[in-house]
Formats: sequence, C-alpha cells, structure tokens
Amino acid sequence: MVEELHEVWVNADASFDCESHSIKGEKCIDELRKILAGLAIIEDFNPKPEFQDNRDGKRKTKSSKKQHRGRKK
Amino acid sequence: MSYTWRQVSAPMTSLLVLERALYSLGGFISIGSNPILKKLREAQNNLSNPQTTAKDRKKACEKIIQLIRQIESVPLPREIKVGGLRLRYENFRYVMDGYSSTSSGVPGREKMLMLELNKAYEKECKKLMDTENQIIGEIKTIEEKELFDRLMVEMRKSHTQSIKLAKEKIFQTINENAEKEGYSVKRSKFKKGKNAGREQYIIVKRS
Repeated sequence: MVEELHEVWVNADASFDCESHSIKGEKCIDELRKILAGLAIIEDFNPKPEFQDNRDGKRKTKSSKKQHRGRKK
Repeated sequence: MSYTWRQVSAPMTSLLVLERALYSLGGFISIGSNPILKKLREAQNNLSNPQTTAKDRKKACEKIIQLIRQIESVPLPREIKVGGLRLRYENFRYVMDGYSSTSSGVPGREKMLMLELNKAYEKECKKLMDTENQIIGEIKTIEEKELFDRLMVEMRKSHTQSIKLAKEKIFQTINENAEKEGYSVKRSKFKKGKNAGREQYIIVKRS
C-alpha cells in the first residue's frame, strides 16, 4: 500500500515542479524539504485541499449507496 | 493536506551565464580574483566595442571560445560580492547568510539584490539560448558571421553542459536523501512530447 508519494519534475533548465499525493497533514512539505535538501530552498507552496475533500466525497458516495440498498430491501 | 510547489527561478549552473548576469547588473560586482572570468570579460568587451578592428574582433572571438572550454571544468565561485554584500553559493543559488525558507533573517535590500541577480541570470539564459538573438555585437563580414556562429554554439554548449551536470547532481542527491528517509525512487527522462527535456522522479514510501 502506498503511504506517501512525491512527484518531482526537473525541468529543462533544472528547476523543480513538485506535487505530493496521498499525504495527509503538514508533514508533506517537510518531507519534500528533506528530499530536496542541498538542492533547493522551498519558500511559498500551495496546499492542495482535495485530499481531505476526496475522502469526504468517498464517504458520501458509500453512504448514499448504503441508503439506496436499504430502500430496495 | 498535500502540496504543489514550483521553483520560481532557474538554478545557477553556468559560470559563463553568471559572469554575463553580474556584468549586466553593473559595475558594483566583485567576483573575486578569478583570472579566467576577468579575461573573459576583457575579450567580450573587445568584441562588443564598435571601435575594435576586424582583426582584433576575430582574436577576441577565438579567445572567448578558448576560455569557454576552460570554464567548463571550473565550478561557480563559492562567494561573490554584490554592492558590498557577500553572497555565498548554496542550493544552486547565491544567498545571504541567514537566508532560509522563511527568509526572515534577510533584510529587504539584501533580498532584493538576490532577486535581481536571479532575474539577471534567467534573462541572460534566455538571451543565450534564443537563436534569433544576437548577443555578441554587429556582424560585418561573412567570415565574422561564421566565427560568431561558432562562438554562439560553444556558449550554448557550455550552458547546456552545466545544466546536464546539475541534473546529475540532482539525481544523486535525491537518491541519497530519499534513501535516508525510507523512500524508493523511479527516474524517467523524457525526450519527446510536451515534457521533452524534463525528468520525472516518482518518490514513494510504502507501508
């Protein structure tokens, strides 16, 4: 099972574009800092809220399916 | 919470481009007593001076080509002085002492200088790699054109080589850091398509 996933792109000019997936909490950017230690200083970054949103979304879907089945019975 | 992060400015990898960037910022730059850079600047000034004779322009051009080849094996200076301030080379950038990801330790003026240098470096990179752009002065004869074309090829080759070396260092460092933190790394290089020239690292920790 994948616990943490960082996608690091090194552009043609050797600059970085990075994104994390499936990582919960503030530690994701700290982990990137550790991975890029000695290569780049990470200043402003954009938090992605969709991780939490997706989790909520999945719960809602499951919940509605359960209710639907319940009605059929 | 996950993140996206984009590095704002290109890393400084080429001594040739750095010299041009520092020169473009004005006469208040000191790059120490690096003799190759001094000779390089003299030759470039000779070349761009409209009063230089054709013979001397040819000499200057050949001198620059010779110096570019020497520069390839020379690392970027560990320290430079900009406007009386000392900047040190770290993480492919010139930064002030006390500079960190929060930048709280760096006063406004110093930070402005750092940003200016970054911008100047990027601008010189673009000028150098733009094949439509003529950065070495007016061409007067066909012989000069051939020589200038050769010079531009050498300059671009030197810059590209410096990026290639930086990418190898990036590969080694990411591998070492990731291994230390318990991640596995997969590297993919792209030669075609929209990601041509880019490299992708998928860094994964499994439970």
